[in-house]
Amino acid sequence: MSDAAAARPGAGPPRAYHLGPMRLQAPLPLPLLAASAAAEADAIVRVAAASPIAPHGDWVRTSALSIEPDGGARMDMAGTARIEVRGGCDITITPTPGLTDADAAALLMAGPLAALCWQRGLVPFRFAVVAVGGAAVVLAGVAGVGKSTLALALAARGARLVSDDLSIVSFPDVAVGSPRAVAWPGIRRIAVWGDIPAAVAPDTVASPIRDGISRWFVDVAGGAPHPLPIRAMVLLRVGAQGTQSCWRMGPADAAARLLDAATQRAPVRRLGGDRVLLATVARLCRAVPTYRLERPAQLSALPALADRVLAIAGEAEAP
Amino acid sequence: MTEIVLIASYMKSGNTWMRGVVQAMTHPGLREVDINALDVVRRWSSDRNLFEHAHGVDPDMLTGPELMVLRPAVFRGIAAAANPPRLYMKSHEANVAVGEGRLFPDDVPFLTLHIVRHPYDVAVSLSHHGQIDLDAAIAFMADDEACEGGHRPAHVRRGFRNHAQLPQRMGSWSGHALSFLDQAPGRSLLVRYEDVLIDPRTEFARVARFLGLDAAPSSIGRAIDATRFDRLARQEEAAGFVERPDGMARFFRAGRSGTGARELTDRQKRAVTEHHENVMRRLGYLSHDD
Repeated sequence: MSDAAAARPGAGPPRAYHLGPMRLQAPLPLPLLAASAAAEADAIVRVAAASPIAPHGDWVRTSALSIEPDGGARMDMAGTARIEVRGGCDITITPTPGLTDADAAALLMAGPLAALCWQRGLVPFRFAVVAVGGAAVVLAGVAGVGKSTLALALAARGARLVSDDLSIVSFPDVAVGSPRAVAWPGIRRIAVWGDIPAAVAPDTVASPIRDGISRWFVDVAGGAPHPLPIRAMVLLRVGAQGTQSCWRMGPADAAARLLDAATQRAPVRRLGGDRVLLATVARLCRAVPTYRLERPAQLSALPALADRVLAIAGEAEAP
Repeated sequence: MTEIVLIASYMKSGNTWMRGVVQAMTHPGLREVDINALDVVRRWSSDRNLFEHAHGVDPDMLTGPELMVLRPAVFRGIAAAANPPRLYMKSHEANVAVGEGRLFPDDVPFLTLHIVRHPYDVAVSLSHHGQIDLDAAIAFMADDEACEGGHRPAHVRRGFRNHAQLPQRMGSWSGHALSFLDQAPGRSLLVRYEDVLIDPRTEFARVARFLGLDAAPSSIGRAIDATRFDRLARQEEAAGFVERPDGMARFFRAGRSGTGARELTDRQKRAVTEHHENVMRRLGYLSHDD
C-alpha cells in the first residue's frame, strides 16, 4: 500500500464511492469510481495488516478462489495479496509489504468487486457502456474482443462513458414511459492495452494500471451520475472474413451468445450467481435490441466500427 | 483424472500441422482436415478462458509473475475434473520453473508430443510469421526471456498480442527444447519435423501408437492424405485461416525443410549455431548443414 497505509494499514481517511447502485467506503483512493457524498455505505473495504505470503508454490492447489462455509469468497492473488469478500458488505485486503494503492485498486477489479456484486444479487457484466444522446449503448463480447478500445473510439467521437469492464444493469418497475432496462454508472476509466491510447484517443490522459503491465486507465468524459436507459446492445466479434458486418439478433440467440461471452460460468456458479446471471441475461435480451457486429482484425477498421455503433444508437427505438 | 495430451513445440515448428494430424487420426472417416475447424486440439495451454475458469480472476489485472504462480493450478484443476477423459492442448510455452515445480506440473497426467524443427528453418518461418527480418528472428530465438502475447511494452504491438491467450514464455529455441527434453511432463515422444517430411508413414505411426490411436497402415495412409500440405495451403487461399496473424500473407507457406540453409547467410548461420550448438547436436541438426 502507500507508505502511510503501510505504516498504519487501514487507518487512512475513509472515502466513499459509487459502484452501480452500491455505495462503497474504502481507506484507499479508488479513482476508478465516482466519489459519493452518501453518509452510509452498502459495503466497506478494509485493509488488514500487511503479511508476507509465500511468493511461490503449491498453496494455490487448483484455484485462487475459495468459497468459505459461510459463503464468503477468498481470492489468493498469487502471493501479492489475499482478498476476502463476505456477506455482500465487506471486502478485506491483506496485502504483502510493498503493495501499492494502484496494485490494490487493480486487484479489486480482478475479481473481488465482482464477487461483491454476486453476493448482493447483482450481475457484474464485463460490458463497456457508453452514453449516446442520453441513452446507453452496451458493448458486449468475449474478453479481448475490443469492447474497451471501441468505447475509447466512441468517447473520442463525443460519447460519454457510463462504465467499463464491470457494468451493472437493472430493470425499473414497469410503468408507462419507463425504460425497460437501465445501465448504472460504474468504472469511470477505460482500460486499454499498449499503444491504444496514443492511436485512438491521443488527446486523453492515460495512467498506468500497474507496474509490469503495459495497460492503461484512460480518463474520458463521464455520463450522468444516474442510471441511463439502454437503447441497444452490440455484441462484438472478430469476423473470420476480415470485413465488417452487422445484423439484428433475436432475443433467444442474443441471450445464448451473451451467456457465452459474459463471464466464466464455473466461478460464477461457485459464487452463487448462476441463476441471477441466467435470469438477467434473458430479461436483458428481451428488453433491449441486440445487434451482432463482426469486425475486421485491424485497428484501422476502428473508425468505421465506431460509426456503425453510432448508427445503431440512432436506429434503435428510444427505450 | 483427465489425461492432458500436450502438443508442445517452439513457434513455427509444425504444431498446427500436427494438430491436423491428430484431427485426422481421431476422425477416421475424414478425407481432408478443415484448418479452420481443428477442434480436437482446440485449446492452447495459455488460453485465458481456462485460467479464468479455474481461478475466477481477471488475468488482465495481474502481472506476468503473478500469472505464472497461478498457472500450474489450471492444469491440476483440469486433471482433477476428470471429464473429459482426455484433453488435447497445444503449446508454445517452455516448461519453465514455477516456484519449486514447473509450469506443467509433475503430478498431472500429461502425454507430451514434443515437436522440434531445425532452427535455420524456424528462423525463416518466424521472419515471415512475425513480419520481421531474419536477424530479428534469430535474435528472438536467442532470447531467454522471449515471450509471445506478453505484457511488456515490446510485446504489446500489432500482430503479436493475442487477447485470447495469456503471455506465453517460450524462452530461447534451445531453452525451450531443453525444457521438454529434460523436464517433459509425463511420458514424452520427440518428433522431428524433418523426419515427418521424409517418412510420414513411420512418424505418423509412432505418433498414433504413442497416443493410443489406430496405427494400422490404412489409417495412417488416410491421415497422411487428409493433411497434405498442398491441401491445407489451398484451403487457406480459398477461405483464409483464422489463426493467421493480421498482416501475414500466408500461414501455410512452404512446409519444407532446408529453406533456412539456403536463405541464411554464413554469418546468420554462425549466430544460430553458436547460441544453440549443444541442443542442435543433441537433436542431430548440426549435420544438416554439411
